[in-house]
Amino acid sequence: MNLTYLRMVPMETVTARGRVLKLGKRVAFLEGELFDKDGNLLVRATSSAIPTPLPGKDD
Amino acid sequence: MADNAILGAPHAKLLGVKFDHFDKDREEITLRFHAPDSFITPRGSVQGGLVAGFLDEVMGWAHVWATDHEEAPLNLDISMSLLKPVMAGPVIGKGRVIRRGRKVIFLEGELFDEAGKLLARATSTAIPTPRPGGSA
Repeated sequence: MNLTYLRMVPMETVTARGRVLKLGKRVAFLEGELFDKDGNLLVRATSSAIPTPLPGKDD
Repeated sequence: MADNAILGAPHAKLLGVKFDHFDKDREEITLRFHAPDSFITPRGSVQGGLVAGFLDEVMGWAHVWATDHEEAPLNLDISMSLLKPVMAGPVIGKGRVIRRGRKVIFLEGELFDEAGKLLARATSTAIPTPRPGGSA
């Protein structure tokens, strides 16, 4: 996971947006962004992950 | 030590931080954490973003100690790799200053379990700033 801090995150409600860039069978590439109430981009993240069944779903 | 007051800040309390030692020559700090149950996802381990919190803390303190508590880092980015799941309970963190410039600093952090297994590692680029709340 890579995080880029563009602006300081204020103590207020932030809007978070997450996106799947590519969902493969073995690897998923994800992206996330945080915005303040004026729509300014605060933080951006990308991550590489291994897709697994949702933990705790049917056990 | 005065720093226990800062280590007692609400976010630090949440991470269960305790100072272990600082190696001045290597500019490397060792902290002990206690990952709380509230950090655990249904998978049974600490949520990845919260792992970054431990790494951030240990890297930040390496810089604070390396500057005799004069400065603290303002992070520009953090890159981390999650090697093994971090479980609730004790976690050992090591943070060090890779390069300390006037305008930019480069930090590195690692988390270990009690058996010494590497769980996660991170690097960070940051701007050195005067320590907020400085001599408090």
